[in-house]
This record gives sequence, structure tokens and C-alpha cells, in this order.
Amino acid sequence: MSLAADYGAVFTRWNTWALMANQDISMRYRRSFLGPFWLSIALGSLVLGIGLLFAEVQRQPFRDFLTFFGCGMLAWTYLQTVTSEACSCVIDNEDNLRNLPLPVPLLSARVAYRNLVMFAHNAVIIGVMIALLGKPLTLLSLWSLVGLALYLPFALFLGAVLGPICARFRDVPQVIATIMQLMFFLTPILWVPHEAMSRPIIYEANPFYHLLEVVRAPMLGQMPTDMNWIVSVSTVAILGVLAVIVTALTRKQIFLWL
Amino acid sequence: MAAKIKLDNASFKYPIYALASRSLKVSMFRQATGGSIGDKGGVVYVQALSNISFELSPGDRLGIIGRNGSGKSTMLRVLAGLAHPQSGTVTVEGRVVPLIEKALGINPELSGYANIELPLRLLGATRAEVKKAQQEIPEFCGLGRFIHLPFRTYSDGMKTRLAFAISTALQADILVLDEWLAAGDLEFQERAEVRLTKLLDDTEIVVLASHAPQLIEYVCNKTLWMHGGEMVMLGPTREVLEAYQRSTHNPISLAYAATG
Repeated sequence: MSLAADYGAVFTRWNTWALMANQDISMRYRRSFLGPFWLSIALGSLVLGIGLLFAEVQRQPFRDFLTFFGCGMLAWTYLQTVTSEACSCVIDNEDNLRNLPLPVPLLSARVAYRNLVMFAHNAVIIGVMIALLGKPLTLLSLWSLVGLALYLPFALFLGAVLGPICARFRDVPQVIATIMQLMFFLTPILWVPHEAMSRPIIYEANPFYHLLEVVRAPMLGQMPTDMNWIVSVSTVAILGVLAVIVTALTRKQIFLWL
Repeated sequence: MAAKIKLDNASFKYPIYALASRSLKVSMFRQATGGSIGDKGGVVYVQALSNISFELSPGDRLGIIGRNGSGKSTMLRVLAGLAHPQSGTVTVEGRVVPLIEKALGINPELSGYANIELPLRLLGATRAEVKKAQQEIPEFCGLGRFIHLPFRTYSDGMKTRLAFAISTALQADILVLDEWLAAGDLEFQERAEVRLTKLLDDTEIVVLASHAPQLIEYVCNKTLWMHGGEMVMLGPTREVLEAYQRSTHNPISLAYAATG
């Protein structure tokens, strides 16, 4: 098998990653009526509780802020979960990889798709919340789907980059977890950026901000800026190049690192 | 295209990472200082295969015999395309189905029936192959309505039956087997044997690693005797097994030699 075949497998063997991801989701429904919705409910109550508090702290109208925070958390949950699961996509498949030739992109496609299903669950809860808050979605909100379409290659490439690295260097997942915790506070999710900020570079230099905006802004009835699109697409493109490089360098080594 | 396996002077070694060298910090520190810390950064190598050369063509059934740690499993993993030798070349042509570990991809929470697909998909099965397996496996296993109960509720015998049926459902050009598949003391020995024999007959090249000379003698026409990662002898099964048994002063295998 070659490098191209490793990535081609994402298309030719989509049954395999889709089946793995569907089994992951169905495991969360096992003997539980709400299954993965429990995670969505946890997210919803977090948004409601923290949202009300921070609306007060930041003197924001609570309807607007809750909508902003809810949509932000919806997108952030995807970005953050795929980043942490990207780290474990190879390690979690040690048994399989020791005994079967499985391309890494297949394993990261599983993560990307599984979290898309989780996103859909969360979107139901957040959607209901937004509707109750009297902030209905508009036609413009459909642009969120375009933004979401960028999340899939983002997750796919991230797993192909981080999966093998984390298998070799087992403390990288901890480093990534620490960074992501920091990123949550550096990215405008819990706080609203405003014109008067003297250093907008704090969030403008953060690719997660732009990735967040391409999904969040349309939900809030705004079009993402050109800058948002450019940075998001470039981030995915750069990750894509890194992914191919990492795969080329590690595809014959991963077996040694399990 | 006929199946083919060719190894030319292939050598493979496993690095054993001391815990310290798996950490990024140590690795960066090593780069920064430009030297090496301790014993090559704490990496110790185990030479698992040394200078292995052989060639197999359709009709060949190769048995690999040797003690624990002689390199049998590594050999299977090289042929399966998992382990890539650091030196020498490996050419494998044809569809390889590796059956090295039992029950890969089986999810104990799912029903026996629902568990048929993933193990096959992991082995690269097509939709048509999955469909066919889903039809014939329940019948072959004879699990009755148990096929729709979770795998974890099965008795050991039932689990083995299903795992065996799944593993033997795919037609390959090259089969790479560990002995579990052929040596299991299956309740349904006879039907299993028929099924396995048919599978092997329809496969161009079979490679089987085992401790058991009886099994190798039954399946294989060629045998490779390995010791310490090196080829000791490769040739017709009977000759190699006789030499192997002379070298191991194991009363059981001596008894076998006397009766055989």
C-alpha cells in the first residue's frame, strides 16, 4: 500500500470508518434511553447556567449572550473533542494495528464522523434553546453547513497529524489537552469581542476563532468575514499538507510505536 | 495475476523504548544538545528477523516452526504488511488476509449477527462479501436465535464458533495464519475442518506459524524452521520437521517422531 492508497481508503473504505463510528454511537445508546443526548443535555445546562452568570458579569442582554454562548459551545465542542480524540486515534486502535493493516486516515475519519453525529445531537438541544430564546435561525444560517463542511477535513487531517505523533510521544496528548484548555479561554466563546479592544490580535491570530466563526456567525444571523473564511480554509490546507508529510514519514514506523 | 511472496535478505528489529525516550522532552533535549543521552537515548533494539530470504508461488503452503521468540509472529506480520523490514526487500503480490489475532473487531455488546460485518470490513471485505457472509455464517454456526443476542452472553464454545466462522469467511490469494485458527479444540471439529480445508484449498499461498509439528505436517508442503530470528532450515516439510525434532530434546516431539 502506498501513501495515496492510505488517503484513498477514506473514500474506498468509507464503510469501515462509518461502521466503526456508528458502533461507537450505538454504544452510547446502550441500555440508556437518551444515550448521547445526555452529553447534549449536560452541554445545554452548562450553557444555560454559565451563560446566565456571564451575561450578568459582562452586562450583556441575556437572550443575545445565551445564543452567542450556546452556538459558540456547539462549534467549540466539535473542535475541542476532535482535537483530543485526534491524539488517541492511533493509540486506541493498538490491537487492530498490530494485526491488520489499517491506514491511519481511516481511523481519523472515524473520529471526524463520530463527532459530526455528536454535533447533530448537540445541535438539537442548542436549536431548541435558541428557538425558546426567540432568536430563530434564518436562511443565512445555512452558511453554517458550509463552515461545518470544513470541520470534516480539519478533523481528518488533524488525526492524521496527531495520531502517529501521540503514539510515538506519549506525553503529547497531555500537552494538547493543556493547550486546548487555554484556547477555550483565549477564543471568544465565553466573552464577546468588541471594537474597543486594544489588542484584537489576541483572537484574530487564533485559527480556532476563525474556525468557530464560520459556523457560529451564520447561526447568529451574520455572514463570516472574508478573513474568517481565508484563515479557516488555510488552516485546513496547512493541516492537509502536514498530514501527508506525517503519514509519509510515519506510515512504516507506527507499528513500532504501539 | 498470480500470488507471489518474495523476501530478499530482509531484516527487522524492534526498538524497545524505555519509558523516558517516549517522552517528547527527552527527545527534544537530545536534539538540542546534539549528543546522545545514555544508551542511544535509552533505545534498545531487539533483532527479530535477520537476513530472511525465500520465495513462494501459488500452491505453496509454508509452515513456520520454531520456539517462542524465534520470530514466527514477526514473520507473519512482515508478510501481512504490518512490520516493514529496515533492510532487505519484501514483495507481496495478491490479496493478503492476515488471521493473526482472534476476534478482532468483535464488540461484545452487539449481537452475533451485528458482529459479522466489522471484522470483515477491517480485513478489507467488499459489500458483496459482507452480504454473503451474513447469510452463510448464522447457518454455519448453528447458533439459532442466539445469533441475535449480544456476543457477551455466549458460551466460550459459541464465541469460538462465531469467531472461527467470521475469520474463515473471506477468500484470499494469500492467507497468513497463526495456529489458533487451525488448532482450536472446537466442539464442531468436523464441520470446521471441512470449512478450513476448503478455504485453504481455494487459497493460492498459505503461511502458517505453529509450535505443533502435527499441524504443520497436515497443512504444509514446505517448512521454515526459525531460531533467534534466523532461518535455520527451509525445505520439504518432512525433512525440516525431522531435523527440528532431532534438535529439540523434547520427549513429546520425540514420541511423535517415533510414531510418525
